[in-house]
Amino acid sequence: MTPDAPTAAVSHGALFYVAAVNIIIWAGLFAYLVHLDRKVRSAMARQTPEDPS
Amino acid sequence: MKVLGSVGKVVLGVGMAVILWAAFLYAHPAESFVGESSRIVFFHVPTAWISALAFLLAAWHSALYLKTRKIERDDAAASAARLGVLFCVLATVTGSLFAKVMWNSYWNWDPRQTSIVLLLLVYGAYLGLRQAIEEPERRATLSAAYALVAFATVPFLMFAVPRMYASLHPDTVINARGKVEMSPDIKLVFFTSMIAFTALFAWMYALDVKATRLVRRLEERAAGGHTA
Repeated sequence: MTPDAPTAAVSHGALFYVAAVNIIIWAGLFAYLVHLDRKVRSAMARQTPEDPS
Repeated sequence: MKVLGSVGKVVLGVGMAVILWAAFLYAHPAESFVGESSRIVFFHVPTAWISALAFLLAAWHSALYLKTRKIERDDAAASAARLGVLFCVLATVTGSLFAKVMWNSYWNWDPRQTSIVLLLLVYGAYLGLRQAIEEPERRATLSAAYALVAFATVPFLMFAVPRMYASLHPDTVINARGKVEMSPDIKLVFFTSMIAFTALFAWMYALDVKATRLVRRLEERAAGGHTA
């Protein structure tokens, strides 16, 4: 630990804010993954009749 | 390859949100760390664990490709290596943020930081090799051989080097005495996070493998080949 490293206590409000931002980012990532999942599945379904491999 | 069903995805989606809440608002900061910096353990360690797992998967599928010559194994190895690099970058970035808070510098060439950069270079070269070869079978064979050699460096760079040299890095999760020394609240959030990240990786990996196969089939059709 260096002498000038930040040591100030972080308020509960700041932690709440960081948690909220992280949850929003996760929600966006999750929605994007669900979207990709559907897209890939429908592309595979379209391909299957022509290409049984 | 169906890894997570609809229920599994919902559980992961809600579970990860709960973990994020718990990481900041339920678990207490660990002693002997500056401020809230110890909370990074809920994200940094799982991403590092996932990168090791992904590189292991890449080596496994590469070995199977060399044995069976099935191109699907090459798709799986490439997807695993890609995601391994992604999670390795995330582990590097989260580690660097921790270093800034703890040691007041984002980067100080600590053995841990140096070894993870070497690991990124090794697997960056794997991705570069794949891009450099157009012929699919030759690309698959050379990449598989390279992936096996690359994986030989993983235990050395991830586990041996950081323990051989003095490091600023905190104790590993299972410390030198073979114990997990965490308070119960931190332990609960940490291991739940490990499970959630592993499930997230499994989903991303399955998706990436499927997408890689689709792209390969389209390329084969465009080239008029029917090798799959």
